[in-house]
Amino acid sequence: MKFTIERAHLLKTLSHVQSIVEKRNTIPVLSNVRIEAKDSCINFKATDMDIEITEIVEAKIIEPGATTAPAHMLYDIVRKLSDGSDVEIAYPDEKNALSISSGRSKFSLSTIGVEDFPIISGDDLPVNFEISRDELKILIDRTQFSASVEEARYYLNGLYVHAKNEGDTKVLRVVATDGHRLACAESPLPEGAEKLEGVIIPRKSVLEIRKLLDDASTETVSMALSENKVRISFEDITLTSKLIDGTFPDYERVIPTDNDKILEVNVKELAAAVDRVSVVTERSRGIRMITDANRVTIAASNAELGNATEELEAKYDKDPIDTGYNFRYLLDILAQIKGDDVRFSLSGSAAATVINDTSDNSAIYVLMPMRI
Amino acid sequence: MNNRYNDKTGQYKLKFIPRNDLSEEDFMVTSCNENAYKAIKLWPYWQHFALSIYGPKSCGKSHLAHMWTDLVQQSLPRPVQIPIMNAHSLNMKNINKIANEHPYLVIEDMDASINEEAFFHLYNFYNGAERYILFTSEQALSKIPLKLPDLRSRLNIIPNIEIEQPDDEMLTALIAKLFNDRQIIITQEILDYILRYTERSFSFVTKLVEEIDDISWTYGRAVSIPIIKEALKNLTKNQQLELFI
Repeated sequence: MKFTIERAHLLKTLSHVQSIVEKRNTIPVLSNVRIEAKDSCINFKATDMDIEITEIVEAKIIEPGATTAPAHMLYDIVRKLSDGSDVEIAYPDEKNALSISSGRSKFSLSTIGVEDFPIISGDDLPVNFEISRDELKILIDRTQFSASVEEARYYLNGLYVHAKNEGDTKVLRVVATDGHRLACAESPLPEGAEKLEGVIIPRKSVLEIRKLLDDASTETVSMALSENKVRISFEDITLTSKLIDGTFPDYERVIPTDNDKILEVNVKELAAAVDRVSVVTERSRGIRMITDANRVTIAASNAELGNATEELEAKYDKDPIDTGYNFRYLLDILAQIKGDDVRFSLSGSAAATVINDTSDNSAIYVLMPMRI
Repeated sequence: MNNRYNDKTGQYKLKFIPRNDLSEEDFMVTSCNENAYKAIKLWPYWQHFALSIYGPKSCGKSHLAHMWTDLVQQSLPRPVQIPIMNAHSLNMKNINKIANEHPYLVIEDMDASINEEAFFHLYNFYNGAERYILFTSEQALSKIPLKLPDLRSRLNIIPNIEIEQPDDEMLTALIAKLFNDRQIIITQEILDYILRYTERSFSFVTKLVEEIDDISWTYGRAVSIPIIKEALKNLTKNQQLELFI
């Protein structure tokens, strides 16, 4: 195998594929990227056994062939090569290794044969649809921060994606929760996704997909799903991931529908106030939100350091409520509100609060309070 | 159970309802419930139009009732609604509508505070008319102290099948099912520990797993022996308090 490729193309491709390779692996070949030169293209593939990514990039092929080489090291090498240079990659060199040459730099990396490299893709995935790249980015951004990282509740370690009938309209709904907060976002159901029953896409896969979408220049991406796999593809990139084998809880039952104490406040002013007041919370992360007639007060106190309050104008005409929240959770949610005002639907200081954008009903958040 | 908070962080958590798999594949048969299981499976060759399954709280009566409704549905050319009703929801106002609309009926939690007149009519309506009722209760129908002699004598004819307190085989299966319903993976060590220290009743084991799950969920900790000890302590403390109330 021997080919020449522009350093910028190679770097972009390697940045995608090396990202899913774990830093430490018990199976050596999983640390490697599979490189195959064939038909004027190079096929790069990496996997951690749960996710597989393939990216095809054009190159000048001198001799076809395939091997695997350490992904992170190859990426680090290419990253440090001169911008605008060409890179020549050849295998096997005189030491039976992979050689990387660019200008006066020359590297040699050990390899493992392609026959040891596992392939997890290849299944037929029955549910296929196209989704707008921007819609998918928004759905991920509005939900992924709420996914749990607690391993014991593995069925919450990802995004729950399903088709849902909302009256006469059909939506693609994405939900994530760690038990402290729940995020639920939806967009019009893409054609072909009607049969999408609930699947849980692992958090790591979601974050990888999100990173890839930032580099995508196409307006739509293809998604394919089965009971146990999801595949997303656009341009020359295909990412296949196993799904979480679990049942997502009946989330709709924990979204309150009768919280009748409504507070509306400018989201930017609120986020800034929470951010300022939270300085004195230190480790506890607890801030208080006290509602009163047409105003809301954000307060925090720390027995050793001091206290802080900030009062904001708001729309509110019910009995006062004093509720504690983890300020980080609150800021995460407020960061996703793109309209001018945010609505809090409250019922009591120990009950779940529903939060949404006053000008957009396509996402709602449920935040559990803190006892302060 | 009230929504508890983590007393170290003050954080409350959302309270998700665990799934409750009521399919036949998930029903464990051991010597304590074998007769009840066989009686359910015997339908439509019951001796009588009605059958009564009785036994302690959380022993699987409702699970059997769901299995019976599945069995009936499978035998029908098209699906029909088979209500699973609480005995206390039946009264003289709704008896006629229910009886006319539903040839198959499950009535749960039979006790002495039922509307006896409504049940007298219900019995007469269903008797001998290709209609079936499954009753569930904590005590045998014949032992429920009812006032209407005509109803008492009728209910006495209905075969009563008991589910007994769990044997060790059942306790093991029940603990595994309850954790499985909550998607919590436990080790053999944890299972053995619970078996060694739990009170040997369906209801206590059910409450214990609920409490273990709640502590683990609230504090974000995997299920472990210290959590089980804490759950056992909490439940025992509550039981002692109940004695004084």
